[in-house]
Amino acid sequence: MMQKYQERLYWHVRRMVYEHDDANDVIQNAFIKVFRSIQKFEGKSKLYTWLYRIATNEAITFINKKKRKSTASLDDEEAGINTQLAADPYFDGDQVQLLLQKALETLPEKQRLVFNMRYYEEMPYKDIAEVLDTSVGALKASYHHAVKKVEASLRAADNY
Amino acid sequence: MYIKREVNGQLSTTNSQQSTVNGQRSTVNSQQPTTNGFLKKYFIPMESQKDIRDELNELSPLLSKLDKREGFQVPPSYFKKLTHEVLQKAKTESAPAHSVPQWQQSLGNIWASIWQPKMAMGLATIALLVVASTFFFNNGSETDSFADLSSISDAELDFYIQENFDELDMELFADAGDASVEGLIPSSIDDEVLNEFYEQSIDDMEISDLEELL
Repeated sequence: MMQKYQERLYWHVRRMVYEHDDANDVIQNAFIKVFRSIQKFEGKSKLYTWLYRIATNEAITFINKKKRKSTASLDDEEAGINTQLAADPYFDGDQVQLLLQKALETLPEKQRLVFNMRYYEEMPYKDIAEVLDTSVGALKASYHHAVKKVEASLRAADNY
Repeated sequence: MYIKREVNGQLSTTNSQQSTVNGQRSTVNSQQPTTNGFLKKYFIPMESQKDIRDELNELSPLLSKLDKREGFQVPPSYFKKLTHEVLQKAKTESAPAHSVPQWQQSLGNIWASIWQPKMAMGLATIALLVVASTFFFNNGSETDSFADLSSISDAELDFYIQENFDELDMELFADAGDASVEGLIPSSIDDEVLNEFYEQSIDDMEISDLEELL
């Protein structure tokens, strides 16, 4: 099961936490939780949405902990993502990708999650609804807003 | 980018879940490793990849044209090692702790409970009460007070009696045993003064009291 889903879940987490070391910690903790609670899986949802849910919750917990420890202001954090990614040895994205990540950082956490799952992973709304425990209608609205915001950010960067 | 939408464990484990497979099929990545000798097909119930991309194109042609490569990378062979690391970590966390004798555990628990705030406060209060009562009873002891009296000089005693004569309990003097009245009266008082005092006292007394004395 791990080998089947690890890569997919890793990238899902990585898009949330950005840094490889953080993503590694989160994904390992998530899988350990999966091992501990696999017997509790009742099969009411798909296995992979259940796994996604655990990984997502772990990532959110990690992000919140990091925010509590951090004393940086919101402006600093937004500017910091670009600097952080540019300095990250495990990021080789070009300027466009940097701008895109910066735009995504401005989204509320849940909206960013919806965007990532829909845009990058092309997950159906039904599956995203199982992962995030949100209605399909709300997800559609959230995704549409997210896309508009990101597009506006990219255009505002005057590269297009 | 193709989604690795593998058929989940529902088909292989519980046949009752097969009813969820109702959607369209998309292209299969033939390089995908198989499980149990069967080809895995992609089933995207209700929405196809085409649907999802059409939606994006409608919302934002700009984003639709962007290369979805994110630029994130991983160290070499990371995913090959990940499984092993996770399993090791899971084993370490579930390993039983070094066994400690039961009596030692109980002692440790008792010791720890003593230092709990409430327990510590209670013990401190009890100690304080014990110390305070020791001081209190020691200071109130008659033996000590009598021992102290011996250090007081006669002159001091005389002075005290003169100053507080009205407040003294005459019965104490009456019970003094062999001590005579003359012995109780300070010798420094003049007889004339004493006589004057007696006469004044007699004048102040009631007739009934005088009769008792006689």
